[in-house]
Amino acid sequence: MNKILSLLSIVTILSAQSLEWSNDYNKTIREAEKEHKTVLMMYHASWCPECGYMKEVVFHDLKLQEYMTKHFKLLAFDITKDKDKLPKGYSFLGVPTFFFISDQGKMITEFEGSGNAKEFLKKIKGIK
Amino acid sequence: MIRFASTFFILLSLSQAYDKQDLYELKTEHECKMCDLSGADLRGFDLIRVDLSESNLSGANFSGMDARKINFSNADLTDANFSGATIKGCKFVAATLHHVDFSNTRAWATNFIDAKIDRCNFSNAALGGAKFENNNLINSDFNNTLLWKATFTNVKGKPKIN
Repeated sequence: MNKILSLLSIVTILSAQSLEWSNDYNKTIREAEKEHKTVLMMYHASWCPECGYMKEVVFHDLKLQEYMTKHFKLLAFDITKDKDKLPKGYSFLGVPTFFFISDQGKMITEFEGSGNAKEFLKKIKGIK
Repeated sequence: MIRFASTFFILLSLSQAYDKQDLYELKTEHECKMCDLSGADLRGFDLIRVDLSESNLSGANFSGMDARKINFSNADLTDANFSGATIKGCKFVAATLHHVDFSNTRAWATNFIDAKIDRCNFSNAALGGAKFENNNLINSDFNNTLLWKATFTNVKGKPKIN
């Protein structure tokens, strides 16, 4: 019984870390076009506690993960470390900022800030 | 009738006690240290990164506005209203924060070191990464406040971390 419980908790931990973020803009847009998905691009920074909260808490919510994986191609840039990689045309005031980009590479909408998993899911639902 | 009218105008002038020159300075120079902006309605002003240290901001209205990275060090913010505002990265070092409404604010990484906090409303605010040091939080409301990675050093009445 204990072994099963440990196995279950390992599976839970692994699945909670399963969001995969690319940091190759062009490749992600090409993949989005193939898969007819919207790109969710996050600008974040290691010094930003609000970004840390999103990455360490909110994005560990399984329901949210499931929705994000199903509907979006995920792209993320650290605005400090990836400074030279930031794609042109996406202005921002602060981080975290989330951009939603069509499979044709056109921006659909964007918003800044965090929220709990439920709030974030509500915000991103319906963005296509 | 005359008495009523004069009382009304006295009350009106008291509620708008700010220095008009200081308000003009804030608008034009984007800085206003040691200013008298008491009772001013600052909604609609561009205040991002403004230095308002040592200013009198008692009763000032910042509600719903983007007021990030403002320096409020040593300012008097008694009865000020920040409800629903974005105040990320603001410094409230040694500020007087009596009966301030911080409810529903996005107050990530705010600095409250040595702030004189009394009867403040932090309910439903996001105070992740905020720094509290040498404060008395006993009479303040932290109902449903997000305190992820907030730090509390030498604080009386530390709220429950959620």
